[in-house]
Amino acid sequence: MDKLIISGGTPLSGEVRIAGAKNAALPILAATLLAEGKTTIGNVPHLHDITTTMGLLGRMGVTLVIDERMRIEVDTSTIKDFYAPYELVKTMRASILVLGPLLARFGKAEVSLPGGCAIGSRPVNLHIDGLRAMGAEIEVENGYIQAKANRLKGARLVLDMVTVTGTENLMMAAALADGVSVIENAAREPEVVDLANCINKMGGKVSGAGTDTITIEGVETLYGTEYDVLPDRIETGTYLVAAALSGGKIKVRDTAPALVDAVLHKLREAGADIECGEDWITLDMKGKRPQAVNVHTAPYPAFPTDMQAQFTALNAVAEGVGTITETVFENRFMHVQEMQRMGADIKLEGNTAICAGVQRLTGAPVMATDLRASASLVLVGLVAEGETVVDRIYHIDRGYENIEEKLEGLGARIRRVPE
Amino acid sequence: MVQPEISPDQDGCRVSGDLVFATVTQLLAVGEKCIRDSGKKSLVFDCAAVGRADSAGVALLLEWLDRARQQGVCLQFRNLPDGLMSIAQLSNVDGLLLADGS
Repeated sequence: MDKLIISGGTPLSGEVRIAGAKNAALPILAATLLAEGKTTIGNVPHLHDITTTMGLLGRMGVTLVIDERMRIEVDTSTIKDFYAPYELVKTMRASILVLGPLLARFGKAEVSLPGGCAIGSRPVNLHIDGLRAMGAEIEVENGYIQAKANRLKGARLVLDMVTVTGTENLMMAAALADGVSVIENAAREPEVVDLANCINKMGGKVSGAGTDTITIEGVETLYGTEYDVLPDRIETGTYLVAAALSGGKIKVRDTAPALVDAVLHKLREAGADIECGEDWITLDMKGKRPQAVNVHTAPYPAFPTDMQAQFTALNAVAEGVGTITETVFENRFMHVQEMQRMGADIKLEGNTAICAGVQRLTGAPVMATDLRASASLVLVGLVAEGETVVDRIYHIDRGYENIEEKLEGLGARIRRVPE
Repeated sequence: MVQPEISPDQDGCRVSGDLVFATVTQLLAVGEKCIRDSGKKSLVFDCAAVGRADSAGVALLLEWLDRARQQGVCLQFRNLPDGLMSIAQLSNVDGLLLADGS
């Protein structure tokens, strides 16, 4: 397992380019199965899950070509198999996103249940129940979802919990269904909107994406198109926080400021001077230490749970006391103990982390258990005295494209050590 | 699209044109013939005149390497375009293309 070694103490400075959002790219790659002809997807991040998805599509017989601008051209005319095997699905739960498109366009699909996800667990059931409501015959046998249908029928689909992949899977299925479908209690995330925009560019009729009611008027055929994935809002926020806690000044390019409103609001509260253009954001701390902020996570458009750990890092070195309240996921403070080992003054009370900022953190060997927690440990490493060694960075590599190269480009002293 | 060609030069062959999905299939056999007919144990394909390239172009070069090896020929590529190398890096096969072919 690779490690990152960081020598802290350098304020970040310079420009960084933001990659496309993985959580938008994965469903959009699945959506290419809906279209006749070739679809070209641009601004795809270079991440392992993208390669896995390309492998999944390739196994089905889909032809994939990467061009010099790193755009992926997908031609589904060569598809011969409608099967997503366990060995791929277990490594990437998003593989289930091929279920809706395969069923809608080809009338059959066999998709492994995601690893660790027994049937009966609600998120997978929501996909299956929604497709059944559209007329699909679905059986779950030997760990696989086996689905078939003639043309799916439009239906009213009420999700009893908000699920991003469930919304996306059903939206893709409904795009080729006969009649109108309405998804109620739909996820509102920008990545859902991006998928809807892509389907509409293919000739689909999706409206209401970004609200909790999405209406899809099914069409007989969708056609290949060219589409660029939206920028990664969490990567954007992470680099901005990195600059803020290091007292630096950076420009984030190729991003979408509107996607990070809640994060920018909190960074301004922390004392950052922020300016935005159409596709860029500058942040300048003017050498100051950040002020502690209070954060309360909630589904989009509120403050994202995926930025919570990074703001814990910010509060760890800020002036004053700040609280971070996590309302979306349980047990998402695994990074706190590691930060405490570096000298952070953080107390956990239920789902809230109360953080009294300290002037000095010291480097330590640390490791994390999830993607954003790992990123937050890299951030504190940027300001800690001495060397911080972050282990298990395969978590980071799942969500951040070339993180050490980008931080190095901003002046950080960071290197990857293969093991 | 610029049709690709392979023509003999001093150390081996000169590859030119676009190495893309639509063109590489026809070029595979031509390149293999160059390798076979060269009569050399060591051969260089100069790619300075390659235009556009995509992942199919990378696959073509890897296939040529493999077929050269089967025939006991040490094939090396020279002047690979940056765009093509970026695609190779993405798939972690850049080292194969830069190797000495032995």
